[in-house]
Amino acid sequence: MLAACPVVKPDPGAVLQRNALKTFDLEVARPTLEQAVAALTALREAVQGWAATPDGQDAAQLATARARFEAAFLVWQRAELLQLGPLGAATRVTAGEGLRDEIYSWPTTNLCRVDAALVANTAPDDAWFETALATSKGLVVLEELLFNQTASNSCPANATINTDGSWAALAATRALAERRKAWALGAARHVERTAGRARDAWIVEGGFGDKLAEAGSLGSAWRTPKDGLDDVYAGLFYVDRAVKDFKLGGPAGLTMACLAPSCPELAESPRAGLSTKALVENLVMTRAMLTGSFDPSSSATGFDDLLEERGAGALESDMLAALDAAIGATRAAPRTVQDAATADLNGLRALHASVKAFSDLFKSQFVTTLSLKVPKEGAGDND
Amino acid sequence: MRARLAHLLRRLSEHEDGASLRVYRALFGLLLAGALVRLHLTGWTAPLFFEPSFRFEYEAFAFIPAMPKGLVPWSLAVGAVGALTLGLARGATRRLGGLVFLACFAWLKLYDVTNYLNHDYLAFLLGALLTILPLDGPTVPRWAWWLLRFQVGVVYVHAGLAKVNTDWLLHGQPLETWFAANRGLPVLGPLLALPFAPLVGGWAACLYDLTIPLWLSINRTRRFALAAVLVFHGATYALFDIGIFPFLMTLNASLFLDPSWPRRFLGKLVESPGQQRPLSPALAGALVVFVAFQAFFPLRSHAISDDVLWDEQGMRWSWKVMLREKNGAVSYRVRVKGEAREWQVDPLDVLTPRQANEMSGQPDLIVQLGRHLGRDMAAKLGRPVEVFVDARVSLNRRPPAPLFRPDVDLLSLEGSDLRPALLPSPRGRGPVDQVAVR
Repeated sequence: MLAACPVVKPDPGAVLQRNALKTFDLEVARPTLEQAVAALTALREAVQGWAATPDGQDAAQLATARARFEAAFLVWQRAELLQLGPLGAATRVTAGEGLRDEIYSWPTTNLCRVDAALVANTAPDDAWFETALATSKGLVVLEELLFNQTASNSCPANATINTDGSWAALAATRALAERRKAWALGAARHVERTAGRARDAWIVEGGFGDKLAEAGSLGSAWRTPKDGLDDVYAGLFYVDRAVKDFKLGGPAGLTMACLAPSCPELAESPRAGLSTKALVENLVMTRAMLTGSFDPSSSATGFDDLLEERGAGALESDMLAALDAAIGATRAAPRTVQDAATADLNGLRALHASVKAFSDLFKSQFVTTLSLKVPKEGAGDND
Repeated sequence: MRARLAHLLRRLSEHEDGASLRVYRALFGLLLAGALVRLHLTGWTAPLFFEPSFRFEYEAFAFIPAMPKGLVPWSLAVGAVGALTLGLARGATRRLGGLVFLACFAWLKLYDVTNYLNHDYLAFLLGALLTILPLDGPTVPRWAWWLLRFQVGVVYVHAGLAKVNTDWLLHGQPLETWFAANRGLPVLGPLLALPFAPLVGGWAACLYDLTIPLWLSINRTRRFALAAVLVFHGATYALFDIGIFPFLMTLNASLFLDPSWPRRFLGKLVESPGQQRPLSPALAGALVVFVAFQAFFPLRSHAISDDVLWDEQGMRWSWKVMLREKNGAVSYRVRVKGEAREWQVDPLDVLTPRQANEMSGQPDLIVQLGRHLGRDMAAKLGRPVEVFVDARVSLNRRPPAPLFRPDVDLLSLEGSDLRPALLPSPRGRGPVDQVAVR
């Protein structure tokens, strides 16, 4: 009798969707978050060492801190695409906690706020950093404090600290360096702590990673595994908006943010000069999120397998070819984005075009074929 | 001929039991009140009304000022009270409630074209009919009954006619895409994954839409038709985010039942029928105009569009429901007239992601934003500009194709016929299964 009952086999497509989520969680997201926390811990230790060394005798400690910053910054460029779950905006994705901006708020910056606080001798502690505006902390601020050792500030000439002479007075003393170090240490502690929170929220048993991998199961926050993939897709959108428009389009004078022929000042990482290396990491992470692995030869399950299963192998090939071309062009770029905006505008615009070739496919046929939508941005009904 | 017409008018003037309509009206009021409250409770007022810094206007309703954002919560509340009043009150109070509901509902729904929903249009029309029609007595003139049934039938038949296209009937698109996305659903998922499911579903939906008003109207088939209504709208509820549409259409099926069906629960009709006034020529004329408009206006795409799924000319107000999966990568190029300097503008610079997504496949909205960017940029630069658009759109899984001619200045376009600026639909370039469903 039982043998006569038809067995409903799980659909291979649905199994692939679940496998893609699991692979993304285990092979891409978790290792990235672990690496980021490790790198930010190393950075905090180095900043601590630098802060504890008297001004004038701290060149070696500063060099170490800068090297650790570079490592942490570049690892974080991968985590930038994990803007889902704890790092995602609460208004945008499922279970979003908005922790990303606490760690790296770019392109939203306001370094003048920090300079004004240095003059006011705010002397912030950990609790202060927890509630401070994102522009007062994070990797943007750390870069400025580690790589700008001059007496200049980021405020306009007509800012109060410049017109009333308070900055000049501070800059004339050793207090400026001491306050900068204290602020840098506070910021380093905050990013380490916040990244740790994000990692823990993701990897703890029953945490976001487990829940995402089980999307569509009974009691899940996602109705189907595809809805879970929508969250990953939301993270991938970074490549279109942040990479193409903000990191490349603005400096290349292609967007309305730049009315001059080019705007090197709009590029990322102005002090450390990591703008091009950051792009490479962003694009490498994009590839990993699409294919389920950082290893190009891996057969891990990813969006590429979903496309293939849907009979869209040509689209899969086109997208990966466009992405690989963009990665190759970025790796081969000899200059920072700032320098390219001044010395090789055509090269920078070509880089922009190579990313656009990928994102055009990403925003159109890729979305259509897999019926993806950015969660919560699909507010309202359809028909 | 004249005698036949007189007979028809006499027949239409006769009254039927109003019990069913009273129940229908009450449930309609509750449903629409619930829909407005839901809009508030889900927090959708923020992305739909508060977050957009630019709003797409309906050209035909541009004279209506946008609802001030502070009035949105009030309109939801007052509109909900109006809907309840329309559903539950009688006489002038019912009509006042109906007018309040219609005013709030329309003002809210006309806020931004990207918020357009077919079922909102249907809810407005039904609400208007329930406000205007003489529904207070224990009995209701037959013409009022048939007008409501006609309105529901029009939606079904036009939705069915819209499905008569090669993508839907031959290639199973976009159902194949949507079914594939929902394969992880419990119970339904494995069924959706069956290879023939999209075509079977597509044909079934088309035949259902085209014929269900008929089956609901015939006594012998009504029971089976009601079962089909429950299955069809239950499935659409499970699969798609279409809000109150399944509930509204299921409720609408009750219009085709015996007008006295609630008497089983409410007791026999004891009130005396209202005065059976003959249908006046003026009213008959107005009904003919309304019926003709509802019957033919949704067909206008056949006259003004080359491929309505591509150019979207005549897409709205036409019951073309859930017909396409369409997404595009849109980028504007703004150029100072006579100069080579050019800027690329991403719609997300101005729109919310939701608006940008809705706009990406709708040419009239792309032009509307282009005109806004042109005005904005000209003011910023103090010089005249030209605006071009690169819109690469994927329709029903096809590879992205350019929607606009790249050399057409959007600011030079006049009128609402955009076809001169558009490139041909990719649907003519071979069947979708060669490019997608391999």
